[in-house]
Amino acid sequence: MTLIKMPLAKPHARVLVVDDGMTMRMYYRDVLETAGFEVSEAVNGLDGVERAMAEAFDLLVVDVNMPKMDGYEMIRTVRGDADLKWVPVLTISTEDKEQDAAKAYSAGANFYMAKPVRPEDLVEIAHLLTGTSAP
Amino acid sequence: MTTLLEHFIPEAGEHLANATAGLLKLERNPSDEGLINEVFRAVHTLKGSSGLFDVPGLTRLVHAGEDLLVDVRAGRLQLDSEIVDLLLDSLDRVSTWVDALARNGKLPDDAESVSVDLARLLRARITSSGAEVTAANTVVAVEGPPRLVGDFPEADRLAAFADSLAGGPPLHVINYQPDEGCFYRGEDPFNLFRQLTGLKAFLPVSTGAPLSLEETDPFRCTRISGRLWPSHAGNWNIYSAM
Repeated sequence: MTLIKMPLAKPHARVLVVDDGMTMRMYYRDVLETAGFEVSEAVNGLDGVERAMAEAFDLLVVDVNMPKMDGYEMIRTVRGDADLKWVPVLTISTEDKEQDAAKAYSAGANFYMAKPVRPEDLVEIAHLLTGTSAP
Repeated sequence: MTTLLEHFIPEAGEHLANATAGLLKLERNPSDEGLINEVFRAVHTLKGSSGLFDVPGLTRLVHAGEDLLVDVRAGRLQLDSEIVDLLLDSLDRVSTWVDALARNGKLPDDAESVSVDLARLLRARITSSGAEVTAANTVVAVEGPPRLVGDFPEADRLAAFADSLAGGPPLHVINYQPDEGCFYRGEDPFNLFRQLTGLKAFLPVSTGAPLSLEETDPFRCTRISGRLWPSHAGNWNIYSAM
């Protein structure tokens, strides 16, 4: 399958990483920053929604199982917000069961991946969802 | 030590401490849902992060503990002191492994065999064997050699079978048919296909008669129906909204 490379629409796409695991956030930050993305962090779904409402992001990377507000609820909240409903959402869950992917998609995620996510896959999907390409 | 591992070690210690404290409280009050959730989340997050590192024994043991807690959380399994002890023993072992990681950058040599034994004990208590009812809108795994296998090019079929016979993972066929409105939900069928690991062959099939260019509505997904032939079913993140 040939992948059509998109033009570099946003050279510095901004990504909000939402995960209650500090190591995971650190990992996403390392991988995405190395690939040229600007990365912010939120520690749970509620924090994620608040940050996404306060600043403009080109992509939300959302974990599923989090305290206070889980990933599904966060995505539903985002999709119900007039300003945020079009922001691409990548769900990265520890679960690799099909119904988990189905739940993520029906909540409104654009893409679902299961942990552990390989750096090259994360970067590729982030580029695809933000309409950017590797420099 | 890598920076990431430097972050993992204290975080793992925190999750282990939380899970242990929660389990000790659960021993006195085994049906406290809030506590069960707390313990589950700690173990779950630990498993997720551990997958970033080359510590298969640790991940295996934490994963087994998590699966057991899934059953407890779902009410399929009642916590008793024996199960709590088993979980505490496992967490204790994981703690010593995290300490070893901090000191030597790797797990002890016996971690692999110990993790297999402990995981087996944990899994012996799991009642559901993970067989959850799948929703109607998930992958349909076809058993046996279905007719559509014949639609795949001969060379692809032979190569896939040869791999499988040579000790590779078993073959599976997926019939995936996105519904017409899938684009509006942000779904991208081709992207889903690209995500499949170990994909051996992909056979797009048109649904219905070909349309002329004038009749084509690019926002309706009517032309893509895929039959996939991945070599293993390990991590399929695929779903169809049929």
